[in-house]
Amino acid sequence: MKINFVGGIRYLIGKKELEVDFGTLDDIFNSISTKIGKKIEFILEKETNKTFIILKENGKEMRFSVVIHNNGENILKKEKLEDGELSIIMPVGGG
Amino acid sequence: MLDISRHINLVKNILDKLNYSRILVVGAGGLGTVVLENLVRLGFKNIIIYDYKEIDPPDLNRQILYDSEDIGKIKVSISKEKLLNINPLCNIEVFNEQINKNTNFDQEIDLIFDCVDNIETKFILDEIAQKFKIPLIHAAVEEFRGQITVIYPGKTKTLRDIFLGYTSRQCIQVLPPSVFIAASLQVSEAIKILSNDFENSLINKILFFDILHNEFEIINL
Repeated sequence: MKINFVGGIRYLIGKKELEVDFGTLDDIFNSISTKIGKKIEFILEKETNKTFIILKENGKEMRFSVVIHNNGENILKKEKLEDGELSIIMPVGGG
Repeated sequence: MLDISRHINLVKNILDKLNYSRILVVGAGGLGTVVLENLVRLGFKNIIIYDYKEIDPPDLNRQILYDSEDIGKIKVSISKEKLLNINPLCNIEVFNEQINKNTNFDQEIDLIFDCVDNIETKFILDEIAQKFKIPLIHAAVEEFRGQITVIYPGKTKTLRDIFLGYTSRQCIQVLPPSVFIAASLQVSEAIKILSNDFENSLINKILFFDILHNEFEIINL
């Protein structure tokens, strides 16, 4: 599966894209962690329906709000994950 | 009267729309003031502005319609005053209030600009756009980055579909050029939408830019 990093996240990760084996979201984020050499976790806050990633590096933990699209569709609108592309997008929200 | 002879040939297919379109700009802050000045200098005549805030000192780094003498004054009133200085023949209606999903409009609106500073209000504009079937030109900025897309009811996903899950931060840092770029791109998208140039517009596409790294990237939606 192709993973795209879009927005400011690519500078935190140090990659624009990479390939991992398809699996569950946990499997995918474990594979990303292995490939980038940093621990990255995905969190869905069910009470708010908000999606975050946690990046752990040098004993520090950073939390970022993201949206994740699977084959062009927001994963929160999909029944299940499909093989193909996963875009991890760090939007901005100011005006 | 505003002389648009230096760009009239570039917008000749929408000259009637400059005169008759009604443009709603929600937010008269960073994005909003740049959008508004661009719209008026382009020759748009009928503009509606919503904002409920007053001008604070930190606004002056990027909110180009305001200066130090305007501190503490109502944004929409000063915006109207400054825009009428550029073109006294504009019809500018201002509302010193927060827009909400029950806001009704007494006349038809052709285009909405999303110039607000948080995702919750952006989703409200999305609801209004879907309810009245009005194209919405979205932008947002933070630090060195920005994003722009066009929400066109019936042709594109909704803004909520795209950004569901995201939560915006408060009191962010923002570099003024990021704001000017995003707002200017919003206005150029508006020209394409009003020209029915859907091929070149950000319909079903989203542009992300990062001026620290000089990256401009369009992804398909």
